[in-house]
Amino acid sequence: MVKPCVLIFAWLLLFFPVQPCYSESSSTDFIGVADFQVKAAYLYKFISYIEWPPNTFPNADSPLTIGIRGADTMANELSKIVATHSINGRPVIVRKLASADTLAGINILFVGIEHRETYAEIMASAKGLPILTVTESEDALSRGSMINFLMIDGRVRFEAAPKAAKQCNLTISARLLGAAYRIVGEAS
Amino acid sequence: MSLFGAHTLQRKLLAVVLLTTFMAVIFALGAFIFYDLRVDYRNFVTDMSTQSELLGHMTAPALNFDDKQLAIQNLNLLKIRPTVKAAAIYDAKGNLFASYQSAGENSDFPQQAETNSTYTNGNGISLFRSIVENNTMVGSVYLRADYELLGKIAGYLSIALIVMLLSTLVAIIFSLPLQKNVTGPILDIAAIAREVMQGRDYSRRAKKFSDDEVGTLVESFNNMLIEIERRTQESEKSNREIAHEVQKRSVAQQEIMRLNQQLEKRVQERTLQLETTNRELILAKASAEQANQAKSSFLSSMSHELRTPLNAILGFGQLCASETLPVTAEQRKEFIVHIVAAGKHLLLLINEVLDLAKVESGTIALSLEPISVAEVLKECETMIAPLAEARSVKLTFPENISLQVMADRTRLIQILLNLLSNAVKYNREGGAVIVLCVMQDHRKIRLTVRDTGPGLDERHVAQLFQPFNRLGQEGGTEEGSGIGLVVSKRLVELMGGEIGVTSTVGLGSMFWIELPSVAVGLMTADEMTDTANLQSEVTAIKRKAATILYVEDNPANLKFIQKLVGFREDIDLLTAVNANLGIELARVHQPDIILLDINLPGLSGNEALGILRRDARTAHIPVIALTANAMPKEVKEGMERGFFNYLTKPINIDDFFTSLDAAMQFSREMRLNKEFGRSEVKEKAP
Repeated sequence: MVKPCVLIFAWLLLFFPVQPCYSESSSTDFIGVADFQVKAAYLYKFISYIEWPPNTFPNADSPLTIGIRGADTMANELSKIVATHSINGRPVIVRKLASADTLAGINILFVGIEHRETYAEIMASAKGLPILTVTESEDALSRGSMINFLMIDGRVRFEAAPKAAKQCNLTISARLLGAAYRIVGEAS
Repeated sequence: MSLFGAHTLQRKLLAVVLLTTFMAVIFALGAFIFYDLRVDYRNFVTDMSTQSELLGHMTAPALNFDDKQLAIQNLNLLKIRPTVKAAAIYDAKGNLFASYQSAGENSDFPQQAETNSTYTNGNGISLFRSIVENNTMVGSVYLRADYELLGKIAGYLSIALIVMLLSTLVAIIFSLPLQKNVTGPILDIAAIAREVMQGRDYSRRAKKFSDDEVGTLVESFNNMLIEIERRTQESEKSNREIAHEVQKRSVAQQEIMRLNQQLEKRVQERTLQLETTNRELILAKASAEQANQAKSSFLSSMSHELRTPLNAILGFGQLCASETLPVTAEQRKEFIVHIVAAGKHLLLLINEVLDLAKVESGTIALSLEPISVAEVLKECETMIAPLAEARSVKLTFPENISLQVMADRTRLIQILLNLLSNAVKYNREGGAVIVLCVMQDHRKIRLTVRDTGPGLDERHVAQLFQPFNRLGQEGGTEEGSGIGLVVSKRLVELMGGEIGVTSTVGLGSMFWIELPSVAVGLMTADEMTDTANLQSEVTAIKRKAATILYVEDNPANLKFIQKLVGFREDIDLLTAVNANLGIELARVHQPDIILLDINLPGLSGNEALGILRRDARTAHIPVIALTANAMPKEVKEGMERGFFNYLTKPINIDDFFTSLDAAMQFSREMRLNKEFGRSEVKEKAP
C-alpha cells in the first residue's frame, strides 16, 4: 500500500512545482525516480560552462546538438527540456544515436551506462573531435570520458577531466569545475 | 547674557569672532559630513550590491548542480568582509539553499526569497539579488551588512572637534591685533570718559587714531566734552550769581526784619499815641457835650433876646396903628422912635448872631490888609463919642500913632466898637475910658481899652467869652446880645491875634487885643488924593437927572424903594415885577441904572443879568443887585458875575445912595464913551 501512494506523490511533483523537501527519508525515496531527470537537467546546464572551439558553430543561432546513446528515458527527458529552452539564443537538439551513427555534427555526446563496455571504443571514435563526452559509470574518466555522473550519498554528482577536454580543444569553465565532485587528471 | 552683558567690549568682539568661526566651521563640517556620509552610504550599498552579484555569479554553479557544500564554501569567503553579517542563497523556487553568519551573529533568515530589493534596517542594510544565468533565474542571494554609521559619525565628530579647536585658536590669534585696532580707540574713549567723570576735569580730550566711525566718535566725544565744559562753566557762573543773589536777599531779609522791628516799635508808639488821643477824644467829647449844652442854653437865650425888641416894635406899632386910642401926633412920633430903636437893636442882634454863626462854622471871609491904627481909632472915636457923651463917660484916645496892623478893617472896627461900647455901658457915672496903643516886641501891636467900671471877679472873667453871658446884667437896663465878646474873640483869633482881659473888682477892667504889626508907610499920598477926588466927583454928579429901573416882585420892597427914591428929585424910577418885563423895559427905555432882585419868580436875577450883558442894547448899563442873599460868598460870586454893586437887605440908605451915585457916574462915562466910539466901550465892558 505504501508504494502506490509514493508514486502518486512523485507524479504530482512532476507536474506541480512544489517546495522540495530536504528531509533524509524523502530524498532517498526520490532517487530512483529522479536520477535521469537530474542528469538530463545537468547535461543541459553543462552547455553554459563549456567553451567549444571557435569554428564549431557557423552562426550564432546554429543549433547545438546533443547526441545520446542509450539512456532513452534521459534522452526523452532532455528532449522535453530543450524543446522549451535555448542557450543564449542557440537552439539545442537532442539526437538519439545508434552504434552505427557518425558523430559528425554532435557537440555533446552522452553515453548511457548500458554502453559501459564500449566506452573506450566510443571515446576513441570521438577522440580529436570537439565533442564533450559525458558518461555515467564509475571508471569512465579513465576510459577517455570528460564528465562522468556519480551517485554520492544518493545524490547525482559529477566528476570532470578538464585535461581530456583540453585535448579535444574544449574548455571546461572553472566554475563548473568548482561544482564538480572530483577533478581527474589535473595533477598529472 | 553674561557673555554680552558683563564682559568688556574686547570679550564681546572675541565672542562674536569665535561665534562666527564656530558657526562657519559647524555648518561647513555639517554639510561635508552629511554629503560624505551620503556618498559613503551609497558606495556601501553599491558595494554590497556588487558583492551579492559576484556571490550570485559564483554560486550559480552550486545552485545549478544543487551543490550546497560549494554554496557554503562560496558564502564562507565572506569572512574577509566583516561588515557582512549574514548571507544566504535561495534556489530558483525561493527556498533557502545555503546560509552564512559572521562570528557572534545569530539571527534568522527570511524563509522565502524575494526579488531584487534593498532594505535599510537600523545600522545596516539587507538586500536580495537574483542570480540569473543563461537568461534563467537560478536562485537569489541574500546579504545583510552592518553599516557602521555611529563609528563613522564619531570619527567625523572627532575631526570636526579638532578643526574647531584649531580654527578657534587661529581666530583668536588673528582677532587680537584686529581687536587692538578696533577696541583700542574705544577703550581709550571709555578711559577718558571715566577719568572725566571721576575727576570732573572737562578739559581732557580723547586722541583720534583714525578717520573711520571710531574717529567720528572721538570727534563727537571731544565736541561733547567742549559743550559740557562750556555748560559747566555757565552753570558755575550761574551758581555764583545765585549765591550772590541769595546773599543779597538774606541782607534784604535782615533789613526787612529790622524794619519790622522798627515798625512794631512804631506801632507800639502809635498805639500809645492812639490811647492818648482816645483819652483826649473822651475829654473832647465831654467838652463837645458841654458845648452842645451851652448851645441849647444859647438858643433859648437868643430866643428871649430876639423877642424883647420885637415886643417893643409890635407893641408900639399897634399903638401907632390904633385908631381907637387917643394918641397924639407927638406920642406917635415917640412910639416910632421906639420902634426904630428896637428894630435897630434887633438888626444888631441878628447881625451878631449871624456873625457868630459864621465864625463858628468857619465860613467867615476876612480880607487881611495893612490898616492904619490911627484911622481906625479915629473912626471908632467918632462912632462911640455920642454914646459916651450920653453916659457922661470921658474918652481918651492915643495921639500921633503911626502904627499899622494886619487886619480886616471892618472886623477890627467891629471889635473895637464892641470893646468900647462895653467899656462905656458898664462904667460908672462920670467914669472914663482910656484907649492905649502899644507896640509889643516889634511884631505885635496891643490895643487896650480900660474902663473904670465895677470890675469882674475871677469866676466872671472865666465866663466872659461865653455866649449870652451878660454877667449879672441879664435883668439890667443895658441893651446887649451877650455875644459881642464871643464874636470878638473868634475874629481876633482868625486874624492871628489874641484877646484878653484883666480885671480888679471895684477898680475896673482892662480888655486888650494883640494883632500882627505892619511896617509903616504902606499907603501912599497919591492914593489919598485919588480917594478925595472921587468923593468930590460923586457929589458933583448928584445933580444930573437919571432913570432907574427896579426889578422886584415883593410889593413892600418896591414901595420902600419908591419912597426912598422919591427923596431924590433927579431920579426917575421904572419898576418891573419880573425879570422878563424888566429886560423888555431896559431895552426900550435905556435906563441909566438897573436895580435887580436875585430871587425873582421865573427868570432869576442872575440869569437876567446874563441876558442884559449879552444884549448890545443893555450891555453898558450898570446893574446893582439888591437882595437878601447876604452871604459873603454870594456877594463875591455876584460881583464876579458882573454886577456893578451888590447891596444886601435890609438896605442901608446911605450905602444905597452912595452906590446909586457911583453907578450914575459910571453910566454917564459909559454914555460919553459910547458917543466917541463903540470899540472903547467893548474893551471896558466886563
